[in-house]
Amino acid sequence: MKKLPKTDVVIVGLGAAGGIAASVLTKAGLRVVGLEAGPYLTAKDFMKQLDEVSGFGMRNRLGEPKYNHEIPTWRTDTESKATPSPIALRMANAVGGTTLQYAAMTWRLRADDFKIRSTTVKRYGEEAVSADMALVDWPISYDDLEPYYSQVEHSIGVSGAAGANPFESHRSRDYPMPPIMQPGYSKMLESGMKDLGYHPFPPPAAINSVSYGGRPACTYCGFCSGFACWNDSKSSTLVTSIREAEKSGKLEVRPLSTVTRILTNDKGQATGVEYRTADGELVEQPAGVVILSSYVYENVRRLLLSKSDFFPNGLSNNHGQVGKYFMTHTFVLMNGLFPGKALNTYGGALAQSTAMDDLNGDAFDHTGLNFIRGALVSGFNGTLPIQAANALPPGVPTWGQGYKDWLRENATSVGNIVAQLETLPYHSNYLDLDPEFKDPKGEPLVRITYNIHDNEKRAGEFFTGKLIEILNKMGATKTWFWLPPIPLPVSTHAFGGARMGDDPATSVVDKYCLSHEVSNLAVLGGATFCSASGYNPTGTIQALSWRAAEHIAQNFNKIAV
Amino acid sequence: MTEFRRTDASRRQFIIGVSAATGAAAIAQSPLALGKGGVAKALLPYSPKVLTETEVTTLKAVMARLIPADAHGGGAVEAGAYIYVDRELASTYAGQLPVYRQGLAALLALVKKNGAASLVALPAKDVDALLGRLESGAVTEPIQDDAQQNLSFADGGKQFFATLRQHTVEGTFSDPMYGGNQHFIGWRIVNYPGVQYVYSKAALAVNGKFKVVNHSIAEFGGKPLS
Repeated sequence: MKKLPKTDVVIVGLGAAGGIAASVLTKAGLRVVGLEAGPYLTAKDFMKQLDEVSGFGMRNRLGEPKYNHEIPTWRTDTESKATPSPIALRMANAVGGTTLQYAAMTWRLRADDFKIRSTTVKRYGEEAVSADMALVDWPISYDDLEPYYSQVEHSIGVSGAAGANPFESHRSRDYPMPPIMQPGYSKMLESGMKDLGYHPFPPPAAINSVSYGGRPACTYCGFCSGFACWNDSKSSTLVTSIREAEKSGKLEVRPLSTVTRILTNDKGQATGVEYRTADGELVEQPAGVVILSSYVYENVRRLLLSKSDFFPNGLSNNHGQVGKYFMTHTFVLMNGLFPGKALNTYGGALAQSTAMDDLNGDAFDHTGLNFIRGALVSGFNGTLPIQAANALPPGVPTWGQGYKDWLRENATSVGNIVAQLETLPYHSNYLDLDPEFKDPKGEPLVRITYNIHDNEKRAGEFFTGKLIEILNKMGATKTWFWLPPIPLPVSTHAFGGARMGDDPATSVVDKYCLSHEVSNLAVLGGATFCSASGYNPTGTIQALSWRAAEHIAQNFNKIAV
Repeated sequence: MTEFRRTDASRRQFIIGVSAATGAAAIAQSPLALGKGGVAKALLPYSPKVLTETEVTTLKAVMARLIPADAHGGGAVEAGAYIYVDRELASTYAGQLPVYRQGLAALLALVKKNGAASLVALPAKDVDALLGRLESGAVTEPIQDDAQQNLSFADGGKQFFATLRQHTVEGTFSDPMYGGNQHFIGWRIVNYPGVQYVYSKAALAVNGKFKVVNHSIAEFGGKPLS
């Protein structure tokens, strides 16, 4: 195998996490090689991709190089056999990763999210935490992460309004840009929520509301979530941190490079990675520090497949913790019909919505409710025509003249609202390698063993009621499920599998995302989360990545091998 | 692997420039756009890639009832949704070709058994009744073609109907570059204004006026992913 010259740090996966790490490390003067399985595309490519069929919701064009062919299998419990997952929200493979096509809501967690176990016990007693739950406090607090949230918001560019959400934890700085434009449907949501006594606000979005960082303001083209931005207005890592790191001359981006194994020495330290080039050649890239920053599923899969004499059960898995405590959000998605109103949601970004935190986390009293934690409630802006042609209330014909008549009359009068439920960590939910299903390269797929529990079911019922209440207040004449609160195992909001903690017996990485067992290996991304929270994960993934990369840079001589 | 083509930067710069100057995309009228009054032009001749002439005839008879033409405008057939299906059965949906072949042959055999020459020869209400039975999984009787080959639906036709319906919707409402939604017939039904790079604030207001541009992404260099 060809062995390349050693670099200071090799990053596996240039997405949300790897992009941020590359920028922080190169700023500190370290030499970084960034390996990305997908191609290196730019806005010139993306401007030809405004097409619903090829988007994330259908064929997921940007996942074709890799992810589309390795979607995890799913079973509800250890007794069943896993099969290909019936629904899958999918990732992108290209420089910039899924930040190219994410909706770009960029949240901070709140202080109580980091103390999920202790705040629950303090307020509701030990009995509120049932035996099936693997509920722990994070090893870091909101205060530890606050400076990094702020760095991320200003570095990549996030639009929002400090103080607009009365439930947010303290912030040292305002957002660098005002919120993105609020379209008509978001204003309807806002007044509906206000009328019920809630506190709606425009959610923070990594989308330029004004020109920022040399990139233009958003033009609200309607191909945002699920599509890569043709105008460089979305703050993907491609056009922010990776671009910045490349300018420093210290980052070498190698697209179409798929990492196959993390290599270790006889002391159990990482020595670099083996990867496959576009031509199919296997190459060794030695490095002082290895950063694994692909998505949750691939991070776990790569660890489990990187076996050695020192790590017979997979890398960093001598305590059997890799893959444990898997979580994904449970969504309650509802539609409402507003006859006679053209909601005009064909244009614009999903993140141009209205959100409320009144019922998120422990922002409200759960006494007498039979469940803990809550959900972020918001509505999605942005609809595309095939989606519109399928958003039918029960009772409406799904074909024929009646179908066509209904669409002509109502297709632009359907609005939505969503509760993004915090799904708790459970001992029975985990990831491992599927014994049967393999990807086209012959490697086993990730197998998800996952189900929602009573807590999520009760919360799902509660939020269904709340969403209907809001839609009715907004004037909906009919409300119906777009997606009921069912398990959604393959999701772009996956968490766990390489949990962060102080104790190697119950976690994989420490509070700087460095492996307990492999001192010069970092794992970045949602895999390290101790709890899911009700928020979209990327803001926190990026703040954690910044903090981890800064720690590695400051202690490089001690950490690197 | 998917082919990722590159385009020239000048066009993008042009659009951004225009957008910045006017706040709206002033892009040349689409060659595919409808004439005044929205009269749909006839489809260009199409030779099927994988379906036979008989299969296309049956498929069109089904689609004509799934999304019919009416006084307001064309339906799935006029939009060319069958072209979409044929193209996809030759590429992305190739695995479903046997299902289509059997299902379409079964429908034809059923109507022939009842004395009609084809689905086209049946009154609309009879095709609707057949589709209704298929949808509810009630086509449980044994079906054979002229060569005595078994064409029966294992589930009474439920899955085949769901596939036909979903693909008809995809073909009718997808970007015209996939073969369906010709002359933007589908997008007109759901009031989708066509691909545009810029929406004004007024266009995103409830009951706000938006510009119907009727552009396909193909006009800007887009290629179908199939």
